[in-house]
Amino acid sequence: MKKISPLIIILFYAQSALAQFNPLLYDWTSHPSSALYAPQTYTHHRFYLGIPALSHFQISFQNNGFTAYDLFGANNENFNKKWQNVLYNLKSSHGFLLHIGEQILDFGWKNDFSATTYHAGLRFDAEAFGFHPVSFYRFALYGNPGGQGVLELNDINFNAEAFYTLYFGFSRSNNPSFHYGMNFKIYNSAGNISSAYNNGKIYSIEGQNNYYTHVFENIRFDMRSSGVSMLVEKDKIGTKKVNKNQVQADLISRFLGTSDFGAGMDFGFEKIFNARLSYTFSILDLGFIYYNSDVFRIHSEGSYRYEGVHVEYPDTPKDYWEEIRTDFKQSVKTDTTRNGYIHLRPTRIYTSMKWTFIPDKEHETTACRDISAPESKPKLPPSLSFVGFYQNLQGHAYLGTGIVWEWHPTAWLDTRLSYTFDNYIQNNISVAIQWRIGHWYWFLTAENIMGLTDLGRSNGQRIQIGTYLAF
Amino acid sequence: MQKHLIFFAGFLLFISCSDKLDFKQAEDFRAEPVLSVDLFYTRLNGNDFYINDTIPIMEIRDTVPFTVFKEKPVKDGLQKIMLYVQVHNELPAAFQGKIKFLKNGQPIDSVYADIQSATTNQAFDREYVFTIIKDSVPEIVLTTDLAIHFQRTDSIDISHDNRMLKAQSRGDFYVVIQ
Repeated sequence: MKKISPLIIILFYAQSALAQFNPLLYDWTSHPSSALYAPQTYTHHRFYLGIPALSHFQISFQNNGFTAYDLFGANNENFNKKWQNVLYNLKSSHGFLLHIGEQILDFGWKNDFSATTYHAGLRFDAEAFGFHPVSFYRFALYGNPGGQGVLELNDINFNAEAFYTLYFGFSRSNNPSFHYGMNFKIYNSAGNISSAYNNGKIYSIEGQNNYYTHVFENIRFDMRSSGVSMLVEKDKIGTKKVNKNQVQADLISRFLGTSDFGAGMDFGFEKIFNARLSYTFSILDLGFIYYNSDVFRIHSEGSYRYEGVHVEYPDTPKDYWEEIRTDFKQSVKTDTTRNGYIHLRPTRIYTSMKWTFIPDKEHETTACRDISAPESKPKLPPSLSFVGFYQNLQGHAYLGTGIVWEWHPTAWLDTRLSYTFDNYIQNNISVAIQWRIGHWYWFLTAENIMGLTDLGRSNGQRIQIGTYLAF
Repeated sequence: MQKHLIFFAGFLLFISCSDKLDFKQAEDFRAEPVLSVDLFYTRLNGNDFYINDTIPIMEIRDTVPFTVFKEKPVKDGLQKIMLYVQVHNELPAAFQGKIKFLKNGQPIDSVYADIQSATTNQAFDREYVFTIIKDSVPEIVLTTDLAIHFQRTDSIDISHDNRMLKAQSRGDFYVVIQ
């Protein structure tokens, strides 16, 4: 029996990942970071300032299809039986996600005169996702005995990106029953590698001239990267000739800034039907990053059939292999280019319907929610929200829904409890707490509490922690 | 209250462990893929065994590339090769087929098949299956080419016979990945 630290589990999953459905921070009106999930969020604070580099750190992983326990559970089952069971049940819609986010700077202020709150900041995110290329796993582990098996190129779908976001946003209330917000973002990326929207199949059928015809049918494959080719070509990463110092220097150089800029925006609104009921909608990361530094792109397209070498016994020897290669290259054309490319951000949509539990007496006297006087209400009423989430992960829909309960037991303590379902984690119970000592606020969130009791069986975790000053 | 919060945070960290995992069992990993690949095929008629339709050739030979072992997992993990050769002989002549495994032109191993002549009414059909165990011929994984020979074992005149001697082949490569 071994104690496995959470870090090891996270590293195990951290081949690639990203977690975006963040219900605890969505529409958390007393939390400044909420503005990046719900731009319409009005802050209660007259002014806030995140402690540089400490104001908000988050790390998360998600994985569906199997868990670490399914493969590595210490249950005396044969390991090879276990991976075979995992592979049998694995689908190409199953994938893994990782996100590491760090708020480097953030601050905001409220202008009571114009009923507007402003927020701005700089953050760093490293995020990645991928889906299991099941047909390739099966080919690698079982082969194609008897010509069986199909390699599906659309199984290849992944993206990894590390970038800074400089943002400025506002939330405004033109009338007491409706307010909206926007964030404007400038991205600068350290690197990217992605492949998506691939097509085609490779399989074998009964041959006419030989046992089989190996068919490359309507192949279309794209992969593009920025900041990777120099590590491979110049620094020889992945080989014995790797220049570690140069790798380090090149990575530092990339993380200090590149010419790969992008722009994006978030938009959200809240419709307040009455003091108790409101509806929110947010669309986030409508934007792109244009990659033009250290770009390497590969594109293959075409169809080909192979029945083995046709031996012709010519008078002069033939280079059959060269003929096959030439024929293949002409049939399935592969281009490599260094041209820049636009990479769309994986846009997210949140929506919620919120019920605030205001006592009847107060409800009768309050036509609409007062968004400007938190100090006069040191203890906010509890609320219950139904939250929905959608994100397009390069052709795969990432859906989430659930409820969020917000409760403020004292004037200096906020709590949130959520119960959500999404593609990765079912029955996800999460908690968030925020407390203050004077003007100094601290917060901690932990998602999938049940998973924390046994990380080996967990399909995902997220931890967020941070501190800021607010007045 | 702050003590409770600290306790809560500590509790989260305390419980966030797993005591039921054993990553060492990955050392037991073993996969046994079988790769089934077409190798070569040929179509010969009678005058292929003659020069200018008059001078008989007792043996014809050609060399084809054998690239399977450029794939490191196959080269390193090979256990055996099952070589399937299907012969269909419509010619009224007998042959011996021979496949040599070559490393840079030098033979490593070879297999033979006696191909009988067709009868008046029926072509000769047979599938030959050869098994090459890597432990018996370790150098087999160094194969770079296959030499395909067809040798005549009789002298019947087939110079104007347009019927065919057909052969097709595939290899099943049994590999262990550990």
